[in-house]
Amino acid sequence: MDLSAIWTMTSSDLRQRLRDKSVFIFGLAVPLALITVFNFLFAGIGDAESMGPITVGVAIPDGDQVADGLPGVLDGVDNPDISVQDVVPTDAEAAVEDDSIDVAVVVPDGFGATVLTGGQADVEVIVPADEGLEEQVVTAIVLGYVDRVTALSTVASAASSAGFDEAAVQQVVATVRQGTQSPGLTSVVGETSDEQLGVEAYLVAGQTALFMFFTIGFGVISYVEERENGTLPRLQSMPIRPGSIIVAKTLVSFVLGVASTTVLLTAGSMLFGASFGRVGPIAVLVVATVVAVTSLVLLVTKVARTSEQAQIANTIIGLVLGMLGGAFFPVTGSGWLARLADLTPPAAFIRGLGITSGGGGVTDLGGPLLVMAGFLLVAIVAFVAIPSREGQ
Amino acid sequence: MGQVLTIARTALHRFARDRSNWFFVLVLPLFLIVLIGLQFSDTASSGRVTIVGEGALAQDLADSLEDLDLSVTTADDAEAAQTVVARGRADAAVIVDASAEASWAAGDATSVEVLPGSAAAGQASLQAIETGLGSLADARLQQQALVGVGLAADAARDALADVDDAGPTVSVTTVGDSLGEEFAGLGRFDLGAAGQLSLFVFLTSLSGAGFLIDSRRLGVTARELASPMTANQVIVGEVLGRFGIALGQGAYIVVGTAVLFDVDWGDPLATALVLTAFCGVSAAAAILFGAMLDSPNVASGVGVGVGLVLAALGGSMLPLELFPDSLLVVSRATPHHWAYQAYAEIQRRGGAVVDVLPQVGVLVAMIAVLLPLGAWLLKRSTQRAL
Repeated sequence: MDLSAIWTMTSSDLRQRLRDKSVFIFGLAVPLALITVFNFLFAGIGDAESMGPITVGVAIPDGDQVADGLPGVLDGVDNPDISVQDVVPTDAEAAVEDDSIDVAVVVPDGFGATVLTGGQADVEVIVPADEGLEEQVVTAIVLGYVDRVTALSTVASAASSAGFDEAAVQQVVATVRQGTQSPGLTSVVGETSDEQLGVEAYLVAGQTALFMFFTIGFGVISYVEERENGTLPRLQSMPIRPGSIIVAKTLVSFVLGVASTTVLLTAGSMLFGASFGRVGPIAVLVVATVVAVTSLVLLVTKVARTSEQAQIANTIIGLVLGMLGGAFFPVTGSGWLARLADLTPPAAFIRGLGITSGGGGVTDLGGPLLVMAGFLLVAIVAFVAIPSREGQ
Repeated sequence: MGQVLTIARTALHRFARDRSNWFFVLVLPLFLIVLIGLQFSDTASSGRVTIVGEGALAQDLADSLEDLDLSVTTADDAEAAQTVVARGRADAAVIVDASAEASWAAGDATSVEVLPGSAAAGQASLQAIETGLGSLADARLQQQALVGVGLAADAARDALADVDDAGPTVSVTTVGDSLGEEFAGLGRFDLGAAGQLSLFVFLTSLSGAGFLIDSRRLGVTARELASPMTANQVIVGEVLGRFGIALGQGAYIVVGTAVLFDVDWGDPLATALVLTAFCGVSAAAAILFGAMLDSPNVASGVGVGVGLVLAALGGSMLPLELFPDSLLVVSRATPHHWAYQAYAEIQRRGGAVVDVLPQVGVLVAMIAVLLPLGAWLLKRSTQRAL
């Protein structure tokens, strides 16, 4: 390899690119502007890390032994932290509407007596129209409590209708009541790794992954420009190996890609409080992603006839892979679309940053690095197999 | 007029000749609308749970969770379920393995593994899963109690089924204004289609500013101005060209989404009026850009940036109803905001032409400011060295 020649070409190209405002615009200004605006828009909307405390107003009829266990059940919940207070049934809706309580639970008069005789009664849960997770949890707890009561009521009715005498009915009810104290179907809560970024960090990672395609394109695509402008034959006539020219162009892309990604991630951390974890694993991920994207752009330059074609093809590939990979919003669900999205470099990059932000090291980055390696391999095979446009 | 139309036709020809434009104008908007539509269908529930297991317990649990308004999907194995939760694609996973199925079928005490996600939604889903498990446990307990006093298993099942509707119920009452009501009746792709319509029409127009810069660089604009045409004729011709491209793309998105995704655009006259006014603003903005900037590359970068930022601020990426108040003030400066309000009036509230006149009025006022400014800058730009 002609290292000196490669260095000369690379540094010359880098100087040219730095003078060209479009590198700054695509590599820094536009993504930073978008991250800033998205941060204003989306910062308060993403998944909350934890649920906030909630106040539940409960209206229980005096002396109702069936319903009076409900406040204790609600009070015993730690996540969310539930505070229970009494509420007058007729004031319950107004109290939720004026935010003096978050949720109201109204048990009707005569609830216990009605239930114990197999009758129907309705427990009303009053929630704000745009309820949050905390309100949903309260509704689920009330449903669970009423389910237990229903189990007693319906089994009594079933025993009666099956012709059992009162003593047998009471025995059945007692068995069920005893059984609900130690349910036969329980859950064991396990732990799973967390590969998710916070909202601010996701916005930074997504836009960085998207605009990486544009910045990297400025390096390799200049090879096609040299061909168009007639300067490529002149370079080739120099006493250097023919491969040195494309190596230098690839190096320009690599340097621009790593530099712009580093600046964007650093700026994102400083301006928006995004945290991505330790520098070492992030550096490995950034280098792997830039190499994978550079190999794709390299392939584009081999296929494109003109630099304009190469720019446009690069933009199209970048936008499609970026959107599919979740640069603007994460692709949810577990279907084919999500699986396809996982195989794109932007998705692997964002996932990798999720892993590093959760404390993961290089060894935990196996999945994302495998995706990048896959892209590199496919691009190399295609690059070798596809005939060059040079001379056409 | 003939000369004006010739300039406009030339702009259209140049745009159509570049085949890559067809991707940005025709393919990309629909691709994004599909992607956004698929997201909408996934998030419309109280929580997302993925279940591993194919036995009776897994199936009963899935039914029980769906009754609790959870969106339930299945995963092939525990590892896949862990991945889905770790990546935030489900709020929690439930693993019902073979031993749990066997234990449940034998009537023994059974436990299943639950993997809640790290976000608050994971903890909320965990509570719902506990309620679902409790329901199944209670149902089995009832049956065992009846069998315990001498009833045959089948007879116990039938007796419980007969009184299924008995007992207390829980009803949920909502108070206050609901955002859900605002979007009620909108199809899966409707909201995304209206937002993307404005985003792409404006973005394509701004990207077209590069053509105008090329015309200036090559001296075409200067020659046009030197010909026996007034400066206004040249400018109107250029604006008409951009306007034709914008209107063509807009009409394609409206018709394409209506036919392919059943998007309901409401009153066609009202939609056409809003789209026409918005295309006018887009064309005027393109002329302004083409006159202000001197490099096609810079115009392309700034165009993409400004186009996306204005779209985000104007409600094309997040419904305006979710904006904080302070940002809504800024949002009103974008044409996208007024188009969004107008389409909301037409699509959600059955608005007609008369109902969208205020929004159209604002868009026309924007044209009235941008167009003379762009024309003045274009005239000045021909004096500038490129």
